[in-house]
Amino acid sequence: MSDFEPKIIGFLCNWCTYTGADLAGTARIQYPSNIRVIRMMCSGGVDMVYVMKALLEGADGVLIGGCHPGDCHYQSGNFKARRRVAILKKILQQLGYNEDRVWLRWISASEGKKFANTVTEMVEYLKKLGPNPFKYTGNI
Amino acid sequence: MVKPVIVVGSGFAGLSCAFHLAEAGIPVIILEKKEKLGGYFPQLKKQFPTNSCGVCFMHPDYPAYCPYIEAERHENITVYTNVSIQNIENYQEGVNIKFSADGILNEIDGQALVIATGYEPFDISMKPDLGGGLYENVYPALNFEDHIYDLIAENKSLPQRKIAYIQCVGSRDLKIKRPYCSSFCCMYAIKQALLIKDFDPDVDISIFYMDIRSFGKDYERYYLSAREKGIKFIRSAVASVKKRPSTGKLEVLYTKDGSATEETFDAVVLSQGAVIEKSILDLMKKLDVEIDFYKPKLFEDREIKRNIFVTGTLYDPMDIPDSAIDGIATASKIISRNMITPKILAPVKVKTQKVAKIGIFLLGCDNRLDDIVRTRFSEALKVKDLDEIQYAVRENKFDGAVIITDDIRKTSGFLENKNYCGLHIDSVVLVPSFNNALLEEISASIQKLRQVKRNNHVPKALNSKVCIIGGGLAGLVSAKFLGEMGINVVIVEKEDRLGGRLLEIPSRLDLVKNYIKYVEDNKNIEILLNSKVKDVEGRLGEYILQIESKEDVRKLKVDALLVTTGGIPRKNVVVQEDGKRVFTIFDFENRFDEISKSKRVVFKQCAGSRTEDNPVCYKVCCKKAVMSAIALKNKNPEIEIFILHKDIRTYGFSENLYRQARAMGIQFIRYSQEPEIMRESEKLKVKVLEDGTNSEFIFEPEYVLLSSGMNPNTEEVAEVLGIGTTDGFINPYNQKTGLLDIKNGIYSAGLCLAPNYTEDVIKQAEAVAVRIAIKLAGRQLYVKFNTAFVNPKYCCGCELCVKACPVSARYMDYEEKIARVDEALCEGCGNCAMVCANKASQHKVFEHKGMLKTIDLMVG
Repeated sequence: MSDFEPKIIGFLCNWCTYTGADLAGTARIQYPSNIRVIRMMCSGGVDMVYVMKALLEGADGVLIGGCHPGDCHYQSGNFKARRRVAILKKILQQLGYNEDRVWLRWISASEGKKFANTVTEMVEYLKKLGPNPFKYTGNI
Repeated sequence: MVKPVIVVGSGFAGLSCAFHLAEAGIPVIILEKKEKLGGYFPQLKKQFPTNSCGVCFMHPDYPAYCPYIEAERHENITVYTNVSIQNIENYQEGVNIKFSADGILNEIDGQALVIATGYEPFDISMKPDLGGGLYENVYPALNFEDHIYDLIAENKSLPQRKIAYIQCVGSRDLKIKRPYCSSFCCMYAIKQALLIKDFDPDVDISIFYMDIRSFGKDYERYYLSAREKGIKFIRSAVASVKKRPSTGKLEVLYTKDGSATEETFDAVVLSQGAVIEKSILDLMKKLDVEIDFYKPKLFEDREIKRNIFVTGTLYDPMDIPDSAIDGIATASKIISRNMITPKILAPVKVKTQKVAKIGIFLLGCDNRLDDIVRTRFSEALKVKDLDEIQYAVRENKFDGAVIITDDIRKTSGFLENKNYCGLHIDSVVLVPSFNNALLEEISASIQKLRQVKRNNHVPKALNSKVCIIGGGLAGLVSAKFLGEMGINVVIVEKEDRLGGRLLEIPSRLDLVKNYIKYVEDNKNIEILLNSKVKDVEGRLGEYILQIESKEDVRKLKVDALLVTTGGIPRKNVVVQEDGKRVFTIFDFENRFDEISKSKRVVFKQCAGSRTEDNPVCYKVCCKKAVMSAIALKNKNPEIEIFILHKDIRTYGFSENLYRQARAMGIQFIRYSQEPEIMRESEKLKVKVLEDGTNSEFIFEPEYVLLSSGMNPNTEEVAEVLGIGTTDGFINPYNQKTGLLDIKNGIYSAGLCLAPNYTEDVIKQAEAVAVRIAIKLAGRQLYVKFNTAFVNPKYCCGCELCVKACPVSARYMDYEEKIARVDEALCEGCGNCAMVCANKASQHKVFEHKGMLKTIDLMVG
């Protein structure tokens, strides 16, 4: 599986990570083209159904990007996201599914470099992990 | 046609002034020397005292508080960059300015000129004795901050393991003719030290200081947290910094316990002070304004010459929140000469709910990208600006648009100005061009547009009435401005007279009486004495208050609330306080004659403050004590005065007062152990142990004056309004940029917000009045499109969304038994849509079905 290119769906908070990704783009920082970005207003608005849907459709990883703790534009949206992701990971575990395909990271608007690094890191990790098993076993 | 206002300089103060003027309907021209707007703010990625990211925290509500984007896109603002000013002439009705921008000569006739050129960091090569400009590991603080950010971003450990910060480089220094204090260096040095410590706790950091001036709201706690984290604070002047050639390390020579000590460091950071540029000094000379750095105030008045104002760091060295407020306060002076022009919004109507014909536009993208997009979407149009989109929409009868742009934030701002190019807001989608999966995202956006259901939008009208709680100075100043602007004001005062605490201070009596007279004469202002606000309900635009007076309880409907409940002098903070010979400095003026006849007076600073139980600095006491001491000494040169203090916090140009006091023979004694005040028969005795020299002094003063500060008077009001407080001071929306806004529709100013000088209270009150006036002047609330909505068919009334909402924009309609959205308050975070089990609550832009479809397409 040397030529396996993982597909990542990124749910990014409009105020922090999305702007950070924007910054990475405008500053011409190189990062792998495996991520597809979906803008959300707040990481607290990311429905875990979306994450599951992405995984079931065959995405190899999901990145949720929010503001640093205490920096949330909407006071506590990122904490809500953290709680939900923790529960989702439990559920994925119970299903016998590798829960590390879902990443939650705090990346602020000024951290374009950190965004690029995170994506690179994630792609490398997923390459090691191999493709998403749901991709082949079925559509639910 | 209103003449424009010219703002020179586009730092935080200049832009916040420009932005508020523009919102009030006055055309503004910004002249910036550099290529880009912004000043130093964008360089500072983390800000004290929250260490949070300034960019993330930009205000989502309109008018947004991030002045950068706003100023650039605002219809009333014109920006010139690379400007050099040739000539300024002022006359009775206005100002004439000649300047060259990008090499082209221009001449503008304006109604006023605001100079907000701010500061320039001190050039450290002027201090070669501290190694400035000599060694590469002696850094200017601003450069070192960039260095820290870079390392944190790359997650590398710091190569410098032992760092010394040297404070007051280029300030409080008579040798290089910079006698003033730059106010913010202490805080940014602490911030940098904390950033390093949080990132890498093993780095050894020492800060060499004269006085730590953490005087702002909550800054004292920040300072204490730095001490707790193991940052060493060493009170000593540094004699020299020398490099040892064999190791390349730096040797810092300083005095410790009275003897010279040498310590080796890997790096030395010099905390640069603020310096006014030479070109500005020349300009001031041309304008015939005398600049004397040795005076206690740089400018006598904000209006230095007729129609020419100064604001921001040029007026007085200040940090970001103060600059923001200062800029708005300057704007208020100009706005009150004009009137606010209301902004009327047209309702948005649609013929059909579904989008039929969608156009794809490439806005300002390069050719390579065009080719990529055209391979799949051959109908994509390349456009230069939004006007072309508007033209194309009209020609081709599009009723939806996908715009591919490289700057989403700017484009979305311009779209709002251009009235969405004649399209319905819900039918415009912006796609960033940096996206790696651009083609997928474009098709996903088209799919999403097809799902959207559009509705008519009607702006909500306001009846423009403001309730001011508290009739002290802040309330009166705000009421005056709002009354002038034609907005109805109700002042609710608990006591039987207006004026508050200032009535007890003789030297301020005239000031406050003038305001009272104005407020009583103005027809727009209603005054309710002996009244209290008992209950508050509702939201911006429809607050319903219950006001209880002695006779009755009445209901009042207002649009916005301003809390200016002020403060109460702290009394009985020290055991020996009797009000006769040991009393607070608040009574100083009333007993001035009596005190000036005595032989010996002791001022005790930080009485009951900056202790473990009460880590608050009340900011005003140091300057007040120094000024009082000078007044006493002037009246009676024989009098002996001792000021016992922890740090003297006479920041900015008040530093000159401190120096003057020392020159007059007033003794300053620093303590860290609480001084004892004793009473032996009729005699008062004060025992104090001086820091540094460790020598004990015993005085027998006739009077002891306690600097105890003012406590905020917010207990009742905070409970009624349901707002949070820290040490009694009201918590603002954002400590850095949204200091005056508490919640949507609730504002605050004055002593209930933070400890402040009288001048600063007036400044805040003017600024908050401008913000309220701008919000209400259009007499309409903006209907936003980035909000949640409820599908009543599916709503079961479980109230989950009401609890999830961070801005209390969701409320229950118990008659219909469904949840509703207050669109004026909703900030569109989508948290309520997420928690809704049956997807009755949804986000207009991120609709559930559309999102699922998007994910489908994205995964591909």
